[in-house]
Order: sequence, then structure tokens, then C-alpha cells
Amino acid sequence: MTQETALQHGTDDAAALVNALVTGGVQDPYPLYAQLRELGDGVHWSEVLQGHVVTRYDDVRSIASDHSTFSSDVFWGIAASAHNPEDIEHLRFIDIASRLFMFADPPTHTRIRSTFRHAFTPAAVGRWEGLVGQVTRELLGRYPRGEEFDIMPGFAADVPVAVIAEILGVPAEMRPRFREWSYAYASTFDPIVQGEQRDRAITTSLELFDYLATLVRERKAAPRDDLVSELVRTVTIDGDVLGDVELLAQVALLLVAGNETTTTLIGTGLTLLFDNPEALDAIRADRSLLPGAIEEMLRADPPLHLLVRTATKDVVVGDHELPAGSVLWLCLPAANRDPRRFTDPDRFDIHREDNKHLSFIHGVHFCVGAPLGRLEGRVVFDHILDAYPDIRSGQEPALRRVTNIVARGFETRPVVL
Amino acid sequence: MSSTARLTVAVRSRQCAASGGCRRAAPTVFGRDDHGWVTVLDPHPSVELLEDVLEAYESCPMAVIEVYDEQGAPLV
Repeated sequence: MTQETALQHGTDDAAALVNALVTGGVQDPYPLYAQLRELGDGVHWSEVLQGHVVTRYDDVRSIASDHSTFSSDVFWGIAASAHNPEDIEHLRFIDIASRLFMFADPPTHTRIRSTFRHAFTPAAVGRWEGLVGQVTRELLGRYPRGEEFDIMPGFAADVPVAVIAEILGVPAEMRPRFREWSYAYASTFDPIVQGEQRDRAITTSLELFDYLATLVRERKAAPRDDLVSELVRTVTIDGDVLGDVELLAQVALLLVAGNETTTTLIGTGLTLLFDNPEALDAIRADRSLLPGAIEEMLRADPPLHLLVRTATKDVVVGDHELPAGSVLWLCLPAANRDPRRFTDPDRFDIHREDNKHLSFIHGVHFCVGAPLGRLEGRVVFDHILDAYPDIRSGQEPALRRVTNIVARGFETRPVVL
Repeated sequence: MSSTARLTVAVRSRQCAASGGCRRAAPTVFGRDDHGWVTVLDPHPSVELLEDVLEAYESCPMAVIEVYDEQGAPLV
């Protein structure tokens, strides 16, 4: 950008805002997102991220639509790829972790993704409805009525782990380990987890990978009625099946992408309902409003805040002319509240029509597990309201995590059942 | 193209992943069978639906949708 346009765009202000956003400690990022979106062209350089943060709906959506110009092959540029090349454990970890199809472009992406074509169809997902309900009832039943407790660690975190464990065919007694493994693996994507902490996370992730490798081998030898069996036999678009390591990497991705995001949805969803009692009343009276309410929860406060793309050629984003190789951080919550696209965007409106939020992103990388996430949201809230119609906010404050810029869900969400 | 011009839409349904994005973008053009796999309800939609059809194309994670103009030239 030239000096002149830099001044015109208030780059100094923007730099301070981006910095405040990125360096942590922000409890509520939404005012910052709104300021960045409305400042200049809504595209702002971040020194810390070494890329431009893109905040407007149309820009985010068109970047997501154009996978050949804006590549997802970014793994080697992000914190998740940090490793010690002398350490054999690290190398083994990176060999698997680098194969996730969210970091691949077509045709590799299409080939891997085609393995999932039977996995999340309406019929497949419909089969899991009873399971999600059962897990929800089981886990909720552990809490006494009328006493304040934090729903995040015990319930919100356990539901998705229990569901995915069942879906994959992991036995119930393995769930605590499975949860520990999943969280360790997820933490390898968190830039703040470094040094010995990262070493431990990698060691634990390898236990997960080894477990999944065994699962894949077993299901190949003796298929059952579960997701891993489905994946090992589904032929790709190229007519082959995925290799064992390639497949186990994608199964691991389901955990890292599915667990924490669903946990976050439960926390932000409850918070939005407590903050909007008329919406809560309406849903209590008419459960057919739940699917729309879940979409609005996803729009208003998405589980994933940033996605990375790199430009494969010189591009123009907003008013910025950027050279090939430029890194773009797509800011989904800012786009989801863009007044150019959504009427009254800061309002939580469960009746919102044409709610094409970007929380599952758009284009070829549209979340493969979206149908499962939506199902879990709907069934969990349905069961909560059935069993505990008077659920209310606790006295202690609900606090967001402030150390992770990519996932800013609630760390605590006190409730009274 | 006049407003009465027709597009041609085709899908490689064997590669469909039933994510439903096309139906949400262009519900009169794309449908689903009992299993959720894509079907084409209207193989020759009016060009007035071009924007919706292109959105459907973009929404497809498997890129199985093909769109042609009236002369049969691919639009995507």
C-alpha cells in the first residue's frame, strides 16, 4: 500500500486495533471486529500474524469461493507445523498432521473429501439423533437441580467427545482417554502452546494417532456399523481408497474440528439465550424454532474465528493490491455481522431469514461435519429445555478464553438447572 | 442472452456428498433423492437464475456441478 492510501485508510488506528485483537486479553472481541470492518476497506495488515485480516462479508465469501486463487495449503506456514526436525517423535507427528484435507487444495482435497461422501448424509446423520439425545440425557443427569455449576468442563466438553467416540466406534471406557488425546491434539494448533508443553501435546497426540491407526486396521479387517468402517471402504473420486495414515489423519481432524467447536456452540448458545430471554421463551414454547435459533447462534458467535488462505497470484482484496504469496486471515465473526449483508446484525434474531452466515465457511472447504454439528446443537438444546425448562444463568460471570485468537468461546458458563 | 435464454445444468451425482448447499442456493434447480444425493429438477433453468446456479456451483464441496450457457459453452 502507498503512503497516501495508508493515511487515507487510517492504518495507524487499524494497526492498534489489530494488535489489540491479536495480542490477547480481549474478553469481548466484537467491538474490535466492528471497528476493523468499518475502517477503510475492512482489510488490515497484522504485523504479528504477518498477513491481512479480512473482515467484510463479500470479501470473505469471494476469497472462500475461489480456491485456485486463495489456497488452503497453508499448514507449513502456521503454528501447527512447528517441530524439531531432529526429533523423531516430532517428525512422526508432523508426517500425519500435515495431511489434513482442510489444508489441501483440489484435486488432493477433492480426492480425500470424497471418502466422506457417505459419512454425513442426511440419512447417516439422522441415525445419530437418538445417540446424541441419549448422551445428552446421560451427562445432564449428573447435575443436581437448583445449584449453580459451570456447564463448560463437565457437560459442554463431554457431549461432543462422547458422540464422536460412539460414532467412530470407540468403546465407552476409552472416553476419558479419548477426550484427553483430542484436547492435546487440538492444542498443537494453538500458537501459544510451545516448548515442553508442545512436546507433551505431541507425545499425547501420537498416542491418539496410534490408537486410531489400530482402529483403522481393525475395521479394515472386520468392518462394523460405524464411521471408520464406512471410511475405510469408501472409494475416492479417483477410484482408490485412502492409505491408512492418510485416513487416520482425517479421522483425527474430525476430532479436532468437531469437539471444541461443538463445545463452544453449547456455551455461546446458552449465553445468547440467557441474554435474550424472549428468544428463550419462544423456543421453550415452540421447538420448531430451534434449527433457526442454532443458525443464528452460529452466525452471531461462531466457534471458529479465523481461517487462513494464501494468494497464489497477485490479487486485489478490498482496495488492497497484494502480491502472490500474501497471507489472508478470514475473520468469520466480523463478516457474519457485516451490516452490508445482514439487517440489524448485532441483534440475536432466531427468526432471521436468508441467514447465510460463514461460520462453516463457503465453497469446497464447507465444513464436512456441519450436519453433525447442527444435529448436536438442536438435540442438546431440545433436551436441556425438556429436562430443565427453567435453566438460567448462574451468578458467576461467563468468561471467554482470551489466549486463543482462533477460538474465543466461553471457558466458563455458570448455569442453574 | 435474452431473459428467455436457458442455461444447462448437469451434475456428476456419483461424486455428490449430500451436503445440500446447491439446494439451499437454487432450490428450483437442484433437489435430492431419498438418500440425500443431488438430483437436477430443472436441467434448463432460465438465465435469470444464473446467480443462484453459480452460487450452487460454488457451494459444492465436491465441485460436481457443471453449468453451460445457451451455446453449450461452460460457464464454470
